[in-house]
Amino acid sequence: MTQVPVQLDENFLNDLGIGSLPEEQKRAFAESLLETLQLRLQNRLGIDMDEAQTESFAMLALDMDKLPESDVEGKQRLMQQWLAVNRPDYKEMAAEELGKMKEELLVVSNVSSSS
Amino acid sequence: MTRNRNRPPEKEANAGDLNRQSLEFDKPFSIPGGATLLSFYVTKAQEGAVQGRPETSLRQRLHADILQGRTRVESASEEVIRLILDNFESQIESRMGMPYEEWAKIEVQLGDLSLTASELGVTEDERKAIQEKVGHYCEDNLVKPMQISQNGQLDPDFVLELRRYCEEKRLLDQSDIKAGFFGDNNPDSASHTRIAEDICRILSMDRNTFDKAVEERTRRDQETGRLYVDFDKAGLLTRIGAAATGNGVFGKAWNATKTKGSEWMGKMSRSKGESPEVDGDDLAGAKKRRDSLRDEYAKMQKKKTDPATLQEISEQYWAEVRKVQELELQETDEFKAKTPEEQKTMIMLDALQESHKLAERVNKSIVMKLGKIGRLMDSENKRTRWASRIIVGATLGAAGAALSAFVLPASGIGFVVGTALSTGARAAASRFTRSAGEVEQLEFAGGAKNTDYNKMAAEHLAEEYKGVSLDELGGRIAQDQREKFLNDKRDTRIEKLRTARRKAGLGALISVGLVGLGAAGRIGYDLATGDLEWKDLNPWSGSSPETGSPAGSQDTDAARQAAEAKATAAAEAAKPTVAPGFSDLNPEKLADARTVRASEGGLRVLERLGINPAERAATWKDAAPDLLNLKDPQGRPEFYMGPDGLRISRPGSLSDKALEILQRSHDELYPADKLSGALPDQPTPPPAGASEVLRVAPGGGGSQLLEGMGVSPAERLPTWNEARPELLGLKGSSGESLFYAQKVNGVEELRISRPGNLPPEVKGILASAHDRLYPVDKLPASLLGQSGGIDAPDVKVALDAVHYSQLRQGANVNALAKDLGIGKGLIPQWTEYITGQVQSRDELVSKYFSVAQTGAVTLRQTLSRNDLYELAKNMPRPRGVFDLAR
Repeated sequence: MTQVPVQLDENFLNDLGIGSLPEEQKRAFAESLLETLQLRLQNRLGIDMDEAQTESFAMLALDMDKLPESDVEGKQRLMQQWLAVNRPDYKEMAAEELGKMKEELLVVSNVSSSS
Repeated sequence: MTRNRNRPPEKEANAGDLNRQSLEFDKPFSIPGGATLLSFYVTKAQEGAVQGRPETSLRQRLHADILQGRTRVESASEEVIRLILDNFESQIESRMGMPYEEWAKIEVQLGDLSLTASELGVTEDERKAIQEKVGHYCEDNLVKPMQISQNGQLDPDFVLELRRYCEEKRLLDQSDIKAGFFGDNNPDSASHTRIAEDICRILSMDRNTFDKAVEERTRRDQETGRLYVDFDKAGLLTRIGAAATGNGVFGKAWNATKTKGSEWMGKMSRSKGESPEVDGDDLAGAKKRRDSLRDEYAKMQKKKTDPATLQEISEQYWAEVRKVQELELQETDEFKAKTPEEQKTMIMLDALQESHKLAERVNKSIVMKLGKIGRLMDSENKRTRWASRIIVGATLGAAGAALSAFVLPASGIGFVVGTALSTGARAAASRFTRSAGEVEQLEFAGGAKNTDYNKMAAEHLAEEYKGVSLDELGGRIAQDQREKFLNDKRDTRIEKLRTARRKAGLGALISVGLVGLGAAGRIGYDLATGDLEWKDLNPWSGSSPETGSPAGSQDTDAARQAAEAKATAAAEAAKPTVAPGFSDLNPEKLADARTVRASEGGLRVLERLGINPAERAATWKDAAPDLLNLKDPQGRPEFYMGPDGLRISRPGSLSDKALEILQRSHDELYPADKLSGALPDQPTPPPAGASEVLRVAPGGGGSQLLEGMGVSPAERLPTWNEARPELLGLKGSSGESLFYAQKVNGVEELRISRPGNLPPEVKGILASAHDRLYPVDKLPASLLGQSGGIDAPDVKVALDAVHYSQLRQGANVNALAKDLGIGKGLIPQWTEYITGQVQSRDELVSKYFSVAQTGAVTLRQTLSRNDLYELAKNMPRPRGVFDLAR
């Protein structure tokens, strides 16, 4: 059976036991969670890089730096290309990290996981 | 000792008193603190403390001040400043065995990490590793409390300075500050009581209150497990609470007032909205364990620990987080009043915060690691380490943002997608602009470059200095500076400030970062000196407050006219121009050649303009008087006279007039090597028989020529001299002299008249000269004309240099000879050969060290020992008796 990747959606919040919070509070929580997730994903990316990937990442950084600030699409395209080559499992990695966060939150809030 | 005549007499009397009066704590960004510190140095200098070795506290303060960019000359003559600074730098250099500027860079890193150690969580091991880099200095001095002056009296100025600093940085609250001004490591020190009394007197605090504050500090330290707080990136480490360890006067005071103090503490906590008292031991213990586990967990993450171990520590960590939360939250009325769902949310938000804290620690070290990638900092990019980190941080941030977007559903709570993608990169980068941002600002403010990182830095600063608008801040600084300037002749003042600043090595620090007040002060200072203009700070404020206009531009109309003139000049400068004397350089190339980059000097510019190395210094010196008169469109000097000669005032494009003067000076000094019409913009296509033609690049000399022919470094100068008589007689197709002689220090030297192609006979003359001098090293025909790569003579000389160097360093000659395959019978001859090619020891050292630098070091870095021998062995050249590659 294919496991559905963890997503930051209503089910996620329900699993944490806070699904019935007002929308505003849910939004605040999700934003906070996403911010930390971003950081953790950066860390995973950085820790897992081998030497060649590190060099390649430097090139990516330089290439992105050359693009004007307004060229968000260009930057995203470069990033996607780099991820596709150097971290093809990037989608799974993101979901996995979110899953870890969920487990941690459940442990701390003393609620057993329902997923 | 000459004192500054322009200084008001009352300041002469006692600078410390004056500054104490002028320190107003409700104006955190006023500048006089720098003068306060400097006045202290000056006093010490006058007392003779800087003769020989400066006393610790003086040195540390001076260092802190230098790094903070606050050195001023208001209270001392330049002579005194120079004395102090010279002494300081030389002390650092001799003790640390490295140039002061290099040390300062490491020191800033250290300061950064010290701050991180307590504030952001760099582990003690990491911190120690950095400390080892700078040897015993940190252990001996930096960590040592330094606010007690040599005679054991607390320096009141410093107390005030420290307090002001704490308030500005918002690092400590008032009770921290009150409790924090001690730190003598020696609990038995008799100075403790006196210090406590001093603090109470200076801060108008009764002793009882002081003791309570000490108690609070102690308790907090025990809770957090921190014995001290490091709060100065300049290495001004102050140990707070160290004295309150249960020993000594403060410890006793704490014990004596323990009960009352606890009550008082409880009130304090509640009044600040914290939770009421819980079981201190449990909470303190849990926090300690949590912090310790966090450290451990972060360390493991950085080191790619195996998943099982990571999981184990993760569980322990989160369990401890949970325990702390329980203790902190569940007993509070506010928490109890929440719904179960809200309670859960509160707990989880708290946990997220904890998770974020942990992730930030790991993240910083990752960005630091990635920021070290050489490619990001290569010479072409001219990027500082900090700038590299910013770029990496931004890219990593973008990656994190992009990745996190994949966990968001196509619909539902997709509300964060937009903000996540737009803020991810910025958030990551801004963490690394804390100190770098201001630097970037300064580096690029001259118009050389402007990037979005400036904006991020500005935003970060704006956040950091919440409550004080940037306009207001800048205006205040500039106003302060302007008032100071108006009391003195502007030019004199600027010159003196520049001298002091540059002497203090701040140029180097521009590349490593300044923080907080230091940076703000510098910007204000640069505004005041006219080095920087408000519109250059556009990303900060976008507009110029009246008070923030540069000093010297007192007339608004005049300022506007100057701005218009600058705009016009900028538009003109944007057009391709052909400067006199450089007509053969195409505009594009000339535009690059005349552009002065940040931290570049005139000689570098002259190099780009194609002036030979031997001619640059004299040209620069000769042109100095005329260049000093040049002003830019704003009326600011384009050049100024630094302590060691003419300097370019700011990055940007050199004016046509400047180029004209340089060209004229050069051509008058070197008539046979005139620049005019002599600098080709593109390589001239080689004529028939190209292999026989020698090309001289702009700026190239005989050494390069011989290098291209494969002559080893040690043999080039003698070869060049040997060939001189013949080369001097050579004429070009138009009858012009291809070479000329010039006397340098009374010795006549051979020079190439101009860049371009030299006829084939030059090579023949040089090769003959070489082979006459070095018959065993004859240049094989197969190598002649080859350039680049490594040739036999280079390898041989380089190896010789390596071996000589090894012998000098005490290598066993027999072992070395054996290693090299030299028979015992040949050892005496070999050592004679290695050391006998020069007549004196000095010459020997100079020769071989130079060779080692240019040859052996490079070779050693790129080739293994075996590769070197293989290379030498296979070189098709005649072998001498002591050819090591036999």
